[in-house]
Amino acid sequence: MAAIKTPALTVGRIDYSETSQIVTFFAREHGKVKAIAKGAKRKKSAFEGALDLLALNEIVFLERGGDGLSILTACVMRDGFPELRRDLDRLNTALWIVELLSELTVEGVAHPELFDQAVATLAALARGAWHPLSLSRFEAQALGHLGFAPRFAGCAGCRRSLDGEERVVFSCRLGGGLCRACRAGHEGVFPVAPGTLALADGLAAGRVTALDRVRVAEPTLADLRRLLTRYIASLAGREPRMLRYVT
Amino acid sequence: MSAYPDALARLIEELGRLPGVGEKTAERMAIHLLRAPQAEALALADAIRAVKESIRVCALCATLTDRERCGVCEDPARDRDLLCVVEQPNDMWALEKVGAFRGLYHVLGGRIAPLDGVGPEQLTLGRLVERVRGGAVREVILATNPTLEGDATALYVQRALAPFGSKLTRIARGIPAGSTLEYASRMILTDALEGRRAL
Repeated sequence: MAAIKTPALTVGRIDYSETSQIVTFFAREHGKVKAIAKGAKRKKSAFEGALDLLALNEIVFLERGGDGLSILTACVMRDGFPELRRDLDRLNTALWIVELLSELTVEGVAHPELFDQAVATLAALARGAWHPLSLSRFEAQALGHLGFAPRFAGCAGCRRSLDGEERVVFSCRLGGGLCRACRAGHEGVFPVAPGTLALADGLAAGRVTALDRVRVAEPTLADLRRLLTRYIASLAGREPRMLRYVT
Repeated sequence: MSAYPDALARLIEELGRLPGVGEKTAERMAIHLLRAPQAEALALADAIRAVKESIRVCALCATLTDRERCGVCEDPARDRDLLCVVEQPNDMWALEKVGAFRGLYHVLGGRIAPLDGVGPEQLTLGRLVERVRGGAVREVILATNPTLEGDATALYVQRALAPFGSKLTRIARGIPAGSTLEYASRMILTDALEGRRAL
């Protein structure tokens, strides 16, 4: 087994035995990695607090063979984002990001841009450099990195522009908005304002960069949150656990 | 088919369910019990039965006790204005062994861990709010573990108790006495610097 060294975020952990844990990392060059951390719960564990959720670490693991677990041999914390532990709303937002990374990624598929974006977003959240659109921008761009980018611009049915439509609906199954002509017969759709889709498109494509100059009305923000979280929930196949805690 | 008589095989199987006990250890324990004097072996069985039949949750602090209220809650010498909130009875017992705390406790019965599906409604938070709402508590010490979930729980409890005017404090964290800075982890050093105090 080859030893692999990589930066990684801790996105999950469960007890495996009296002293060991199975830890899930989102590693920059290796995507989701599940590794057994032997002795992690001992008083004198070599991993100490590095295995706590949300920690940005430098890990070394022995890659699994077949379906077996990888073995964690070293884990040094680079940033534990301690500021997040002092504010419940910020901590819940960070845990939502962790859940998104854990739920929507698969083992062994690397997403280095998503990793960098997640670390930058957590760091901004920890610093307090946060805008009401920051989380939506992360979600919209994360969906693109993961290959789940919805069709925010144009009708997902006929591909025509949605300009001029007063109200469109969004289909999670088709992954996009539907014009008046195409919406008939589609179940599980929900209404969304065309302006919200345009904003989501701008965030996903990286056209909306200087967030501090953007003013968004509260109803549009609520519409955007609903659009993204319902789509993410449909991809995950269940209601994400952190959703009820994220404001 | 097991080579052991049925009763012995069953005992080995039951002992093997205990945490940290593997098949070989369970076998050794079972053989030991088999060879031990009858009174000694039955005393163990009685102790297990007594624990299962008599231990309950304290009506006030929610720790484990064999009475309506635990010994700490019933102790008239305790400072009843001071409340220490912990995750589990084990945490309370650890603090009691030190003997440095003379107030009362409140055991939450776990910690908030939303990613594991554990929310505030699964803890004894409502009962804690009722205790503090009465207004007789001068200070509430949040002694949940210094893990991410423990911190999240402390923040949640802090928010729930904020309207009632009691002083809310968090246990200190940092470098353990007797250790050295050189070998402390990054997290511990950060905590120690941030939690420094005036001399």
